[in-house]
Amino acid sequence: MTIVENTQTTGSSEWPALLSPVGNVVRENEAWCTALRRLKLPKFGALMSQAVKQHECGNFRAGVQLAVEAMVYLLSGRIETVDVASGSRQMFPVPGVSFLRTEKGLRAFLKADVFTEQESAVSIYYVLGLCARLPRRTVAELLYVHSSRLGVWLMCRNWPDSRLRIALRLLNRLRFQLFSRVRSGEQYLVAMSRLLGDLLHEPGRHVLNIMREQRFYTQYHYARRLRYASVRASSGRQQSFLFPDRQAYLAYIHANPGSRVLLTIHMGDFVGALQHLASLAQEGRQVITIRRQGDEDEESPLHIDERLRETIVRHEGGCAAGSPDQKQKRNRLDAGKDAALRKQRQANSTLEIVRAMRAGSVTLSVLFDLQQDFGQTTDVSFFGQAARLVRGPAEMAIIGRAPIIPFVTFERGGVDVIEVESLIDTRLRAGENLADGVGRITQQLASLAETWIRRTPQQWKYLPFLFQYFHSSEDPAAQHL
Amino acid sequence: MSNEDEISSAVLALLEAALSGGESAQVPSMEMKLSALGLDSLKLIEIVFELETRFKVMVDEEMLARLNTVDDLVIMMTQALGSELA
Repeated sequence: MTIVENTQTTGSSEWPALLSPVGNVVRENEAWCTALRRLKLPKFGALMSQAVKQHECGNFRAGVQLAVEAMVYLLSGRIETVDVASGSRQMFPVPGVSFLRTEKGLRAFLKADVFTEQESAVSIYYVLGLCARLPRRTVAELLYVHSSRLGVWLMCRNWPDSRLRIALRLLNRLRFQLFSRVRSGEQYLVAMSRLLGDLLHEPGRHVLNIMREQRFYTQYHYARRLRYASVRASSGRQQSFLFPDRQAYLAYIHANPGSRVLLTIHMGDFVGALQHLASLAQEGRQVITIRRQGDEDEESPLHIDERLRETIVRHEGGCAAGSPDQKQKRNRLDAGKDAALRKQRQANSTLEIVRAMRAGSVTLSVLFDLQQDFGQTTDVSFFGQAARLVRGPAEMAIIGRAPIIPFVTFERGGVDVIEVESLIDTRLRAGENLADGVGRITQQLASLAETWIRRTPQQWKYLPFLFQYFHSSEDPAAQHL
Repeated sequence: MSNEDEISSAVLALLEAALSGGESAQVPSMEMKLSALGLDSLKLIEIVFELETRFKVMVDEEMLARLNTVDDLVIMMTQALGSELA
């Protein structure tokens, strides 16, 4: 049964029409690949051809994986707003696939272990349709994409801070100009400046400056994280943070050697700040850091301090589409052969964390400004909107019976600053159950995050995605494109 | 009803409630492995915490590491309650 016939019998009759003009050539793979070569996308054509072949062989997961790889390849050569305008990520019709936009670009993850024949067919059709309906790439967009790739190259250089800052600033000014010269980019900026302006209570022109600066800080701090991954923390690193509450913090941790939870958001040099705070701990203390699965390998190790016992726990998530050698093992796990084992390992790691916290003398470091892709959420009020924030950090602190120390780091006048907030007592109040406590504490964290973000919005990594925290998860900017 | 019976009932009720919204709503039994129930990573420790709150005990964290079956969960809670009463 061909893909076309199969799709028609499942009732998705709109797919062939949607795919016109390329839909007609899907019946014969060779003719279809020829059409794609005419579009000068040979790699895309090759990936889709492999996807179809895998589908025809009954390897439906491989069919979905290859189709998703082709989609990521397609969108990586386009301005980001093409992705938003087409709603391609939000509209991807197969539930077991999620997307993540990282500093290095778009990545996709297959969260499900098994995909059906229909899902494979729908994935292939969807990506073909996306290719057909994307607008032609303009010169400005082409230049923008190349400048973005130059930015990725710069981030991976181990340059001194001063040189890196100058290079990234210059490049971002150029990129911002190019971005505004692409039609979808210009429209996006206009919409975002109005919408963010309402939320941040800032005039539109100022918001544009914030957005440009935000791009610079995202890349600059990513470059610093890459550097941390390869170098152990040295005593020199401790000197680089202005930490007004340092003495009070030291006094607290020495008087209270039990477990504690350090919580912060993706602002400023948050990895450096986590390293700095951890380095103040007593020798031999166990530090557990929860990181998201899917982080770049070169960014993944958070080398704290040789005096400490460090454990990094990967948050459950999907395996990245595409299979570089170092991800082969995860690919095999997600292929279903060891799915039960993977689930058990994830459950055990959470249990282990809680067990270690209760045993005492553990520092758990977690970033809490995350959405539903990273775990179960709870409702909060965030920037005056009904929103969702992950419940895991508060929940683990309550169940692990450890207080929360919220802190933030940001750059002020060229200096990295750490500010620690008041301790959050995680014991349940009288009459409160676990859900109540989680909701109360998560709201406290959301309010803190909002205060921090309003103060230095350009230094928050997720500012462009603020709307995704709200219950109305559609990006309002996309509605104006 | 003995303490162990009360704990067993509570454990099974909480597991059933946790599983009821899942894709494959299993009926838990004592000999079932916890890993086979397919609970979320946080769900199991939520259940432990709920049991601790209900019975006003704190479990031995070393026993958390050895949880394998539903029965292990009951035994852990029974021992915690026994320690509390002692």
